[in-house]
Amino acid sequence: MNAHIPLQVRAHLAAGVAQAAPWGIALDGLLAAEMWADHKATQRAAGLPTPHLFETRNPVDLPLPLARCPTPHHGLWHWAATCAHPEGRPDLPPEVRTWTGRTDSRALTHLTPALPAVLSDRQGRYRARHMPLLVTPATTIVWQAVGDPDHIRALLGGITAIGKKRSTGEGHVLSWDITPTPDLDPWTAAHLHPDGTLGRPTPDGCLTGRHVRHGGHGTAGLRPPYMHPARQHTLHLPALLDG
Amino acid sequence: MPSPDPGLDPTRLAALRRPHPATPGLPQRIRDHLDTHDGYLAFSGGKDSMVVLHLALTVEPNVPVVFFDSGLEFPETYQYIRQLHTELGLQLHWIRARHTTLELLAASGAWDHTAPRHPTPDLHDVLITEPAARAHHEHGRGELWGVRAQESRGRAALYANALRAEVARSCTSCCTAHPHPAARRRHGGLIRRVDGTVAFGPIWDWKTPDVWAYLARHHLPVNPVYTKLRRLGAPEHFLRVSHMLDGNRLEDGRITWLRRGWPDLFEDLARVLPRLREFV
Repeated sequence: MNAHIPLQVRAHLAAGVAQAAPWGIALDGLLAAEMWADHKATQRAAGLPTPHLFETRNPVDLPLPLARCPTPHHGLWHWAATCAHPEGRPDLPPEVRTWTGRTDSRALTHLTPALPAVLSDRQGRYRARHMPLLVTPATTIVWQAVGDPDHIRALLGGITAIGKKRSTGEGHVLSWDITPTPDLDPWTAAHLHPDGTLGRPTPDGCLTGRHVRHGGHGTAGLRPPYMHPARQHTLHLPALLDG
Repeated sequence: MPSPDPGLDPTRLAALRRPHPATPGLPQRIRDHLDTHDGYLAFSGGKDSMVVLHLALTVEPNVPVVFFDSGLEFPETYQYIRQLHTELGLQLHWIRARHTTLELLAASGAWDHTAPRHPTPDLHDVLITEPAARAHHEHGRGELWGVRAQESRGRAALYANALRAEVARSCTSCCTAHPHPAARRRHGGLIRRVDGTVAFGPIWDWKTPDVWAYLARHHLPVNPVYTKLRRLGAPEHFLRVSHMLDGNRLEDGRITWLRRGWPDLFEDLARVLPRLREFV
């Protein structure tokens, strides 16, 4: 039985979400991260190691509770889900906060017996950081997708924060809403934000014959694990948060 | 009749700001500099060199305008300079560096944990010193530039030392050992180098609001990179349009703005310089 239906996922946030990329967090990435964390926990409980993803030439596609976009494009395929889109806000600029980092020399002594005499925090690899943190100000962000709402709800229920700097309180999720949207056609749910702009990195083939506002053309990940070299392709980029 | 946009227009407000007190005397100083030393105007595509370009064109419409191309400028900068070239009829000379910034950064191995380290030519030599020497060879020993003291401690010290030296060298009557405002206007901004070249920064002691005010007052076109960076939320000290990256200010988040505003370029650069991702 195919339980995949068009739907919208909403995360109600305490105070926005911090991110470096100029488009929102991918729903399939969130779901894959949860499933991968569960997989690693199971392996660990059984006393088995989990190879690092960057050591894996072709990472396995986890069975996400999402449909696959059926548009063929030279063997490329992606999950039918978009990146997050801030809901009901005018084009607000990102809120610029700051994060800082300084090398803990004492902690380093526990990692190596051969520390250099001087670890400069003014230059080199261990220099102190004073970095901007770009926060998208939103109380609700929304994804569109084609998938199994119950399974998605179960996976997302365990996620309490998303985005960067979660440990310092950024991206706190108050609640999740998964709403079936039977009126939404599957292609739109798989590719577009609610405002009709491109909602995910997309191969050319998906957009043939369609005029959709997007964020340019460049290298991006097509599906999780997004940062893996095997998943990098030249794609249409999602509409940019900053216009 | 179309109604005006509601609210205060910051650009019009900036245009009403009182001009820097040195402004009226600058065209004459530029004329004197070009008459004495000949030379060229170094144009980076930034707001400061745009002010100097405008000042220089009022006294010498055929001043050679030289753009030192690092090979890693923002795409908007190249487009902006071509546009200015056409619209203002500039005598533009495009000097490309012997190696692009990207070639040098990649060859050094410092941006890839797995790459071997190699000694590479000094970036400042390749991007500034060598192209400037070519420009001086072609156009004379004089140079006009938009470098300001406010930009860094080093530049402030450079101008302060040069002013003291200039007063000691050129002035026997009008100035004291502690130059007063009139002396700053008469002698300030002039850098005499040991190789005999002489740079003059007409707006050397201007503050950033003075620059924006001048641009607004004269309705001068500004590099669109500034607008883009502002829209991203970049603070004033990060509104710079020189080459997209080097080893400077990485720890202050310079790459964050590149990642956010130019995602396709960032990804292409990160393939060549993988450690770029450590700085977002």
